[in-house]
Amino acid sequence: MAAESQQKSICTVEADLELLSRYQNGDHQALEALFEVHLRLIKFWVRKVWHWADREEVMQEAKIGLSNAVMEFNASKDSDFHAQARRCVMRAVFESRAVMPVKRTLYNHYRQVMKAQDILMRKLGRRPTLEELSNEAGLSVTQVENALNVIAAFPLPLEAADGKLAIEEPFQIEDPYESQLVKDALKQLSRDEAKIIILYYYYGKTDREIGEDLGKSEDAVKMARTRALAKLRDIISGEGV
Amino acid sequence: MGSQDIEQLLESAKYKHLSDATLVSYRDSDLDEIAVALADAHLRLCLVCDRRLTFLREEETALTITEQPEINPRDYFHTEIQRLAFYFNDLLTAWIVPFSKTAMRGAGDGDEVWRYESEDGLLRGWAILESDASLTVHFSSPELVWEGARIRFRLGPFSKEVTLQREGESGVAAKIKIPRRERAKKMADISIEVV
Repeated sequence: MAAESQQKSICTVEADLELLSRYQNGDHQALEALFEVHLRLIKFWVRKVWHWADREEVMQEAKIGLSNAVMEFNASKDSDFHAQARRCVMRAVFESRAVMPVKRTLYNHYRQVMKAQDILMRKLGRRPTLEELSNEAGLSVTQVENALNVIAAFPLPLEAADGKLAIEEPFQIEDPYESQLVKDALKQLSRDEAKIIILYYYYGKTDREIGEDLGKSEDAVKMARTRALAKLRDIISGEGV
Repeated sequence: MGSQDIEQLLESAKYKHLSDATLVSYRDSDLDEIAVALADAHLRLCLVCDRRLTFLREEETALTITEQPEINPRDYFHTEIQRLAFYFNDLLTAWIVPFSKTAMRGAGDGDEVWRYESEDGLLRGWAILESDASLTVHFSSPELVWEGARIRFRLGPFSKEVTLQREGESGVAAKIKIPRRERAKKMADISIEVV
């Protein structure tokens, strides 16, 4: 059998932590190795998000951001250096002279796109196209593209132009605690009950459509859904099933 | 919490953007069946989160290198056999073309009646009509990796298997002697297989 190539990530949480630990113990070669790995990431981020800005200047700021990430990283508090590096690099570029003139515009586009997305997913019941998003947000497709790239590169929510966290975001992000609570509760239902709840509430299917999927009558699905909902209420309220 | 609250919670959940942690777990296939179904319910509605997921995937690709595994000698040799066979196919054409129209030329002792060399010089072949009227066909190559390759040679009724053997540091070679009485009448009736 012919030998096959293997894909291997050169940046892992463990590898980063080991390099950081070695650096903190005085091994400067470890820092060089960390920089070398993350330089690939910086180039990717710059090409993806800041391709319209002065490349040299952006790269310079990004490297400063990476240095900040190393300095600020606290292994006992944070576990993922990679996430911190992305945050610091993006922030450094966002605050740089290269981006400064369009910072507020970018931030406004980000909010407009998020708001348009929120409206359209409720209205259409599907993922909007770039053009639909562009029409709803009142921006060009290119502006929407750029805004989407900024959104994708930053952890949500994006910080406001003045560096403070935006208080009133036009959208909601899942609450990890609440989300886990619901997932755990769904796991305690029977397979069919969980499926009915997910298809009805998350995928917007009717009882009849679900019945066709599961080979049950509409009434049977409705009864099972009511029963499953009561179980979920009891589980989430801590009363058990 | 009442049923209405639960319904509200479930109905609004699909509109909430996925956290970075959920997206990373989704990318890494670390979510269970229910968590994937819930994440998909949002992703099918949201271009923003879909773009965030694409970004994460591309980011991972940017950090991925392709490692070539250690080559198993057997696998390596397998491909070398195919390469050698390719060269012999070319050599066969160089044999068949001149011998399909004309009889073997050269009657004197030790006359070279045929010669071939691949364009890159990696395979040479020549045939000599010996003084006892037997025909000797030679193959040689500087490619040491072909050492040990078995060649099944057939010319008319005569057939023989030979091995490419090392000749010093310069390469590998094989020699086939076809006695006079076994020499083919039709010189183009030849086949060579690397086995």
